[in-house]
Amino acid sequence: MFSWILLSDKKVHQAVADTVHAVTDSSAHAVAEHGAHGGDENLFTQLLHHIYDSKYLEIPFYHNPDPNKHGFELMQFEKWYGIDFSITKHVFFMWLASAVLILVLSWVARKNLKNRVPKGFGNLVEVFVVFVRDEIVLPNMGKGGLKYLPYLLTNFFFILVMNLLGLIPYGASATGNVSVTAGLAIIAFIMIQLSAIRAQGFGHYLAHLTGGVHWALWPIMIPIEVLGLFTKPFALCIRLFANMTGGHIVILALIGLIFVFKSLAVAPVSVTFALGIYMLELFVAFLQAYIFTMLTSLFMGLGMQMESHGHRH
Amino acid sequence: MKNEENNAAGMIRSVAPYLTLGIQIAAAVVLFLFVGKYADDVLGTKPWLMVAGIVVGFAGGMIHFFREVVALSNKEEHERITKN
Repeated sequence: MFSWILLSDKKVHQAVADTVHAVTDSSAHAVAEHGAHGGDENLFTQLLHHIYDSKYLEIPFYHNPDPNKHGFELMQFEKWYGIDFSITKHVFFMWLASAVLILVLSWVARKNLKNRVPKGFGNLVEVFVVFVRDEIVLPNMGKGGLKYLPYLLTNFFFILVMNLLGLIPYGASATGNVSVTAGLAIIAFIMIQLSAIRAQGFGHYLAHLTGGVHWALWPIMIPIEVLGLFTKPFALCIRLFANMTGGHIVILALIGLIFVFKSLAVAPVSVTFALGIYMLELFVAFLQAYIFTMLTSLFMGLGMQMESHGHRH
Repeated sequence: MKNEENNAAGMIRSVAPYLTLGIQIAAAVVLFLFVGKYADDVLGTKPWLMVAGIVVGFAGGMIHFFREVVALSNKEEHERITKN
């Protein structure tokens, strides 16, 4: 798992290709539809193309005239100080998620202002908002957490929509990209520290980093406590990424079985199982949005409660 | 909040502080390993400071682990007493 993050996409791709090539039937590469990827590819690397970020967007009934380009080419930029700011598939879907949220939620908010009792879709959104407030924020952070409610709601809906976009045909989950989840985790990290500093005061916050041990142990304990601040968001990042990527790989692999066996007889079994996993993914999309929001609010709450309970060491 | 132990949210809430304890021991060892390795390279004492780093990291990780577990279970005990 860690090698996935440490190595660049290309290296992982090569490493996986080498390993899997030795194991799988080499004839598998001929069957999948993307023959243009090159003759030396097998099924598993074909699957990974659907999970990796890419410069091309797949659009229904659209075929790029250039056979080397698999879909609509998104905007490419020159590298800026070594950083590639090109628009990729996952960036596109992230923006799409934001656009969907801005449009739908502002529409719902306007509608709910009119009706005292929300109806239809407005009611559905209200259920989620009230759930995040009453089941996530209030139990974890108390009344003081209500000022962070907008951030946590944004977090919840943004992750949820990104997860769900991966489940529609031709879609992709931006949350299946470790950079996206890392970005979310960095924001969560900043919010956790800021809320703790605001609640405890900066001096108290620093004092907590010493771990309350004898000063002779400070050179050892301070780095470990600081490390502890980073492990929580890191776990958030990996959890979301691994859950989304894992589900997609399972679905694609099940569908891929049809091509491995080169028989339509496998299709009913494959499709049934893939459908089952798809339903599971639908659940996981909600669950992971919930878990991410829940844990962020919980960690924020832990930092904020230090003040009311006194120093716990 | 009433049936906290019975529902999934309450369960996550009570296990969440323990979730990253394991990673932290490993991270502490790795951190001090690299500090020791760097010091070795600078001072030319290969490989002793790296070994020392591992030992220090592990000890620090364990101290942190036990302190955290004791603090968390005290907190839980305290909450249980105040609840009843």
